[in-house]
Amino acid sequence: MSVTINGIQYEMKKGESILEIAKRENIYIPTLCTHHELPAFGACRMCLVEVEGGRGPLPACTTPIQEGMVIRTKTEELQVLRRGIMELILSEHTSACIVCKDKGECKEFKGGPIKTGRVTGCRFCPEDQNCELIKIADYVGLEEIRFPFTYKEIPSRRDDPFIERDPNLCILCGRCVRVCSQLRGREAISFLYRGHRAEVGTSFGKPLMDVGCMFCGACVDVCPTGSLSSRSTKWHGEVGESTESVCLLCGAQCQFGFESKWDKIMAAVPWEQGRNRGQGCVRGRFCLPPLMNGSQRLKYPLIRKEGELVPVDWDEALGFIKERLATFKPGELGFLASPYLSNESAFLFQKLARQVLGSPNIDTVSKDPARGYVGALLDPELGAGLGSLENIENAEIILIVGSDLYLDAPLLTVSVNRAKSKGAKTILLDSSPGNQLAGKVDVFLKPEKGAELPLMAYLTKRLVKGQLYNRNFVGNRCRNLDELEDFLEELDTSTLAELSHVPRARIEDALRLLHQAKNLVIIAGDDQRAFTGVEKEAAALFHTLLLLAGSPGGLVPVLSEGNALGVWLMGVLPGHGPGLRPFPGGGGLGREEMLAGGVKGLYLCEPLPDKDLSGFDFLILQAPYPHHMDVADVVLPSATFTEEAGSTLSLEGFVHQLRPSAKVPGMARADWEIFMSLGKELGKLGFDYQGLLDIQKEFGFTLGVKPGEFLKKEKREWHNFMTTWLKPEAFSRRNCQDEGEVRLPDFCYRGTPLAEKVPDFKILLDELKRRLGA
Amino acid sequence: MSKEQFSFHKLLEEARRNWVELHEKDGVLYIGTASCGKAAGASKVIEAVEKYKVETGRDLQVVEVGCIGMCGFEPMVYVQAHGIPPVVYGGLAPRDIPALLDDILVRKQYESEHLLGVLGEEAREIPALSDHPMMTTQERIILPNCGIIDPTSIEHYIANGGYEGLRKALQMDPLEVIEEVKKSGLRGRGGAGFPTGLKWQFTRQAEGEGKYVICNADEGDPGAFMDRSTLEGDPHKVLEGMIIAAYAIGATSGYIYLRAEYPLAIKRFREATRKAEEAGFLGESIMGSNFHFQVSVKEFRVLVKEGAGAFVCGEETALIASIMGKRGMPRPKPPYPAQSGVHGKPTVINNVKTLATIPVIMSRGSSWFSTIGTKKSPGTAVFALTGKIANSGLIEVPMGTTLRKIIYEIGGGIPDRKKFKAVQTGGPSGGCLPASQLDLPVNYEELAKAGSIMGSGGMVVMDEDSCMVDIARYFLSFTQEESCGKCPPCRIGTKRMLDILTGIKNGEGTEDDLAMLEELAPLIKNASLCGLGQTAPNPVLTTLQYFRHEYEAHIHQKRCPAHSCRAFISYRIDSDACIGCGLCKKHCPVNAISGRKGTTHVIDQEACVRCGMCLSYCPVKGKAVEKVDRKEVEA
Repeated sequence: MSVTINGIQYEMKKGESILEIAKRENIYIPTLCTHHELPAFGACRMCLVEVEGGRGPLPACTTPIQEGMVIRTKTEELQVLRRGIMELILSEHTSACIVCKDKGECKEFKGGPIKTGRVTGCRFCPEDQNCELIKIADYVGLEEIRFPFTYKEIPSRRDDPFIERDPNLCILCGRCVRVCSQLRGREAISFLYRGHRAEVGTSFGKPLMDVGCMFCGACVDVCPTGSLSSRSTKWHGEVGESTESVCLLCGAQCQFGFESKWDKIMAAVPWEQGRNRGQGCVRGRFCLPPLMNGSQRLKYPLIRKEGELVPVDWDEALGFIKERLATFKPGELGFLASPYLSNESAFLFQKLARQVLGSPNIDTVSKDPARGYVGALLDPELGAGLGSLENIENAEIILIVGSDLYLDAPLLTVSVNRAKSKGAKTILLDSSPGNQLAGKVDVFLKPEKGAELPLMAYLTKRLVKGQLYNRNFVGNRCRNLDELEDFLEELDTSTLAELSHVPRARIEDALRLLHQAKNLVIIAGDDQRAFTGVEKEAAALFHTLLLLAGSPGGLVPVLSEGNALGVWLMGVLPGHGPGLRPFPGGGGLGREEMLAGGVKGLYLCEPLPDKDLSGFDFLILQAPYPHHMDVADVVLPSATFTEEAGSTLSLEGFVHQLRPSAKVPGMARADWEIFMSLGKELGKLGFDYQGLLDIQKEFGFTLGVKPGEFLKKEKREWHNFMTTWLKPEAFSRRNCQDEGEVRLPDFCYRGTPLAEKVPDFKILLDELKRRLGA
Repeated sequence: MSKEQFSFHKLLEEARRNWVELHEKDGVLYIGTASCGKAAGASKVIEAVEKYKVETGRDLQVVEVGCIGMCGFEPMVYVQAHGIPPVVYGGLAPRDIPALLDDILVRKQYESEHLLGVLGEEAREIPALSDHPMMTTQERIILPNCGIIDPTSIEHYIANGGYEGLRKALQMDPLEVIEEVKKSGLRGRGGAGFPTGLKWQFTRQAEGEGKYVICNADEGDPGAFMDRSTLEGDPHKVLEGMIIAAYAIGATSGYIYLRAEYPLAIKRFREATRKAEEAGFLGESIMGSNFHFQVSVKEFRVLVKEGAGAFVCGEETALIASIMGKRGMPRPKPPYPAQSGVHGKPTVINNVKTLATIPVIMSRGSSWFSTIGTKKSPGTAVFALTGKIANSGLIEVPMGTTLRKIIYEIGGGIPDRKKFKAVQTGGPSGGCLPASQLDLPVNYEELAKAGSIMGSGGMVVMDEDSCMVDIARYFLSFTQEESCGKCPPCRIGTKRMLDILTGIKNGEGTEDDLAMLEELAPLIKNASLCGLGQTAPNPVLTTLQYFRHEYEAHIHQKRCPAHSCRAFISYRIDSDACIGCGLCKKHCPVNAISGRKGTTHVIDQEACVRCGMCLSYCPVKGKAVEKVDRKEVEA
C-alpha cells in the first residue's frame, strides 16, 4: 500500500493521516494548531494540501490517507492560500518584526531583557526565540501585510501566579484549551465568545486561580505564540544553556531542560523526549528557580564554637566531626537520610554509617507508607515489580487508592487521562474529602476513614468468590492459591463492606468493572492515615487484586518524596542493605526509635522542623537551607538536585541521570562529595572514588547488576506472602483521629516548605486550601 | 404496549370517526395559533370569541390549528357552521368578532371584507382558498396539515394519513426502507442536498451499537421560519419521519436539536413525543410486536435538546458537539457523523423538512414522489418568503419552479409599485440574484450555478430601495458574528471583508477594495473549515457579479444608487411643495431645519445627520422632503 507525495511514492500505514505520513517521511507541512500529544483539530488551515480528485484543498491533519492518493504539499496555489491565511492572522498579531527583512538580526531592538508591559514587536515578546509564526511566515514567503493592523485591545491578564496571558497575541489554535482538558483533565480555560470576538479565556473572565487551574504550565508549553507565558522567566531575555536533568520534587521524576544563565537556574521546561513526554507540574515547571536561588541558602560549613555556630572551611569542619564522632560508641550514633538524596549519596551514606562508623542505625526521614511495603514491591523473591507509565496508559481499568494525584504526583494524572481517552475505566477508593479526582472517575468509593482496607478485602473476597479469574494463570503464579482461597473464605466479610458505609450499588459498580478487568493497574497512594501499620497487608491485597485480574506488575506506588525508592534500594532502611538484602548483623534502630532517644549522636540529612532535637549530644545537619540552628553542632551546606550529578530512581523504577545546571552557592558541596571526604577524613579505605562512575560501579556490583539496570523488570514468580502477611486482625476498622480532614501535602524539598521560598506557590497553596475546603 | 393492545386499525377508525364528527358539528372555529398567528393577535381573537360565547350563550367550539402559510393574512379564522360553506377569514381583529359571528350564525350571512375563500371546492360563487393566488401554484406534501389540524391532537394527525408511512415501513425490511428512500431521490433539505437514502445507508452500514437519529431544527437564518411552522403546525409528521429513519438505520435513540427561541415548537414537539409514546408509536414495542422489526427500534426514544442561539450549531458536527454539552464548534470531516457522531456513535442528521417528507414517501411510494419536482431534485421545496413582497408567508412548491413564479404569482410581486431588484436565497450565506435570473428554476444545481445556494429555504426579496453593498455588508456581518472563531479564514477573513464593505458604505472605498474583496472571497471559501465560512462570501461575490456598478458608484462617484447609504445622500425640501407645517422642524433631532410656520422650511446641510426623520414626518402628499445624492446638494 503506497501513496504519492510530491511525486515520490511512500509506504502508508492504514489509519494514519496525511500529516502523519508526511512527518514520518520528513516532508514539511506547516501547521499551527497540531501538537504531537493532542488529537488533530483542523483549525489553523495551514496544513491544507492538494489531493488529486478531491474537492478543493484538504487539511493534512484530519484527512485519513487512502491507498493510491496523489498528494501535493507545496504548490503555488497552496502557498497562496497559506500566505493569505498567514496574512489574515498577522493582521491582528503584532507582526512588524515578522515581515521585516532583518528579523532576528535586528540591530535596533536586539535581544536583551524585556522591559515593556505590552508586546509591540517580536523583540518584546516572551516567545521571541521560539515563535512558530515567524517560521511559517518565512516558509510561505509572506513579505507584506496589506491590511491595517488591528490591535484587539483585550487587557492582559496578570492577576495570577506563575502564568501571564495576553489574548492580543493569541491566534486561537486551541492547543492550550485542548491540553488542559484532554491531557491534564482540568478544563480551566476554554474558547469564549464567537465571531471576531472569540478568545481563549476562563469562565466569566475570572483569574485562573478561581477556575480550578493547577498551574501545571502545559498551556504555556504548547502555546505557539507569546500569548501564554511564564511570569518569572518572561523578563530574562535569551536563556543561556539548557541542561537535561530531573526534577526531584516528587517521585514521578519528570525530566526537564533546566535553563540557566549567570550560573543560576532560570527556568525549567519539561523535556519532550523524557518519560514525562513534555509534561510537568507547577512545582517543577515554575518553582525551581526561586527555590534553588534563594538568598538564604547555606554557603559555608558551620561548627559550634563556644556555643556559637561559626563559619569554617571544609577541612576544619570535617576535622571537628571526626574528633566528636570518636567520642561515641558505634551503637550510639544514628543516621537519618533524606529521600531527596541521589542514589550515589544514599549509597555512600549507608556505607559511611555501617562500614566506617559501624552503626546499624540508619533510616530515612521519609513519611511514606510505601516504605512499609517497599519490600514487597522490590524484593526479587516477593515482589511483582513496579508498574510503569505505559502500564497505566494501556490499562483497561485503573484503581486509584488513597491519593489525589493532582497533588501527590500530577504526572500520573496525564497517564490516567491518556488511558481514559482510549476507553479505560477508573475507580477511586479514597476516604479523604476534597479529592479532585472524585468527579472525574467512573466509580468513586468513599469509605469511612480507616475502613479502606476492609473494603478492599471485601472486593477481593467477592472477586475470588465470583471465580471469574483465570485459575490456571493465577495458580501458576501463586503457589498456594488454595490457601489464599481458603483464607479469603474464612475471612468474615459479612461486616467488611458495611464497615465502609459505601452504598452497595457503588460497590457493585466497582465489582462489575473489576470483574471485567483484563488489564488492571493499581495506583497506590500515600495516604498515611489509611495504611500506616498495615502497609504489608495493603500491599498483599493490591497484589492479589492484580493477580486475579491477570495483570501482575501493574502496581504503581505514588511516591511523593523525590528519590525515596532509590534511597531505600541503596540500603537506607533499618536491617536492609543495598538491594534490600537483609543486612548481616540484624536491624538497627528505625527513625522513630532514633528520634525517641535511642541514639546520642545524630547525622541528619533533612531537617525535621516539627521535632525538638535538643536532646542529642551531637547533631550534624546537612541540607541546602538552614534549620535547627539553635541545636545543631555542625551544619553542612549541601547542593540541590539542580547543582549536582548523580542518578535517581523514579516511582516507576526508571533510572534517571541528574546533571548540574547551576553552580552551588559558596562552598556548598554535593552530598556524596561530603560523605566521600568525611569517609577519607575518618581514614577509612574505600572512599577514594575518582567520580560518580566509581560509586555506581560499586553499588552495581553489590546489587549484582550493571549500573542503570538494577530494576529491570522481569516476570517474577509470585510467592506465598499471603499467608505470612494477611492477618485477619488487619481488616477491622481502624481508629483514626483526623476524621474528615482534607489531604493537602506540605510540599517540601528537604524539609523546606516550597511555600516559604516561592511566594507564588504560597498564593496557590492558600487557594488550594480554600478550594478543597482544608 | 403489547400486541394485543395495539391495533392501528382501531386507532385509525376512531380517529377518522372523530374527525368526521368534528367537521359535521355546527359552530366550530379553527383559529391559526402558530407563533405568527399569535404575533398577529390570534390569542386576542380567541378571547373575543370566548367572550362572545359567554355573552350570547351560543355553543361554539374553538380548535387551535397551526399556520397555513399565509402569514400576511393572520390572524386567520376558518368558520364551520351549518347552512354556510366552510369559509376562511383573514386579518381579523377582536373587535370584528361579534359582528362577524352574528352575521354568520344568525343571519347566515358570510360575506365580509375579511373573507379569503372557501376551504375545499368553490361554493356559491366564493372562490376556493386553494385558488387564492398565493395558494394555487403550491404543491403541499410537507405542509398539507399545517393550519388544518390541531397539532396537539395525534388523532387529527392519524385521521389525515398520519403514521401510515411508519406502519408501511415497519412491514418492510429496514434495508428495503432505505432502498425506497434512495429510489425516491430525496435530497437533504438542509441545504447541501446530499441524497438522504445514501446517508441512511452509510449509517446503517457503520459499525457500532446505539446509533442516533438527530433532527436538525436549529433554524438560524434571518427571516427563515420553515422549520418552526412545520413543527408548530404538524409535529407528528417530523416525529414519524424520525421513527422511520431510526428503524431504517437501526437507531435506539434520537435527538431533536431545536432552538430555544422557538418555545411553542418545543412545547408542541414535546407534547407530540409524549402522545406518540402513549399511543404506542414511540418507546418500547413500537406499534405492537406483531410487526417484524428490529429490537433496537422498540426502544427508540426522542429527546428534545434546546439550542442556545448559535447559528453555527446548524452545522452538523457543531450540533453534535453542542448536544454532547461542548462548545458548538465544527470539526473537519471525515469522520462523518454517519461513522462517528453523538458520543462517537454512528448518527444520522436530517433537516426538519427532510424528515417531514419521509412519511409521505413511505405511504405513497417513491415512484409517486419522484414525479414531483425535477429529475435531479425530486419533491418540493419549502420557502419562507419575506422582504419586499406583497404576500409574505410559508410556501411549498415543486422543485424547479421559477423564481418569477414564486415572487410574482405566489408572492404577489413587489408592493408600493416599486421595482424588483434582487432576491436572496438560502439564508445569510446565499447569493443575491438579479432580475435577469428570475426565470431560474429553483433547485440545487441551478442556484449553485448562479452563485447562490438552496440553503434551508429562506427567500428574501429586495426592491429598488435596497443598496446591494449594504445588503452584502449586512449578511456578512451576520455570518461574521456567528463564526465560531475556530479557523482564521472565517474568523479574520470575514472581518477583513466586512471592514472593507463598511469602508465603501461610509464613503472611504478605494480602487483596491474590489480587488481585495475578490482575493479574500475565494481564500475564505477554499480554506474555511465548515460550511459557514465556505459560503459566507456568497452575498459579496454575487452582488459583485450582478451589481458591480453599485459598488463602483460608491467608490468612484461617491454616490449610492439606492439612496440608502447615509454617507452619500442628502435631504432637501422642495420649496414648491412645502406647506410650512413645521412637522419636520419639530422632529429634527439636531435642529437642522429652520423656517417660520407657513413658510418654506430649509435644511442646514452642515448640521443635518441624515436620519430621515423629516422625510418620514412630511405630511404633504407629494412629499416636500426629498432624498437626493449628496453631490447634487453640494454642487
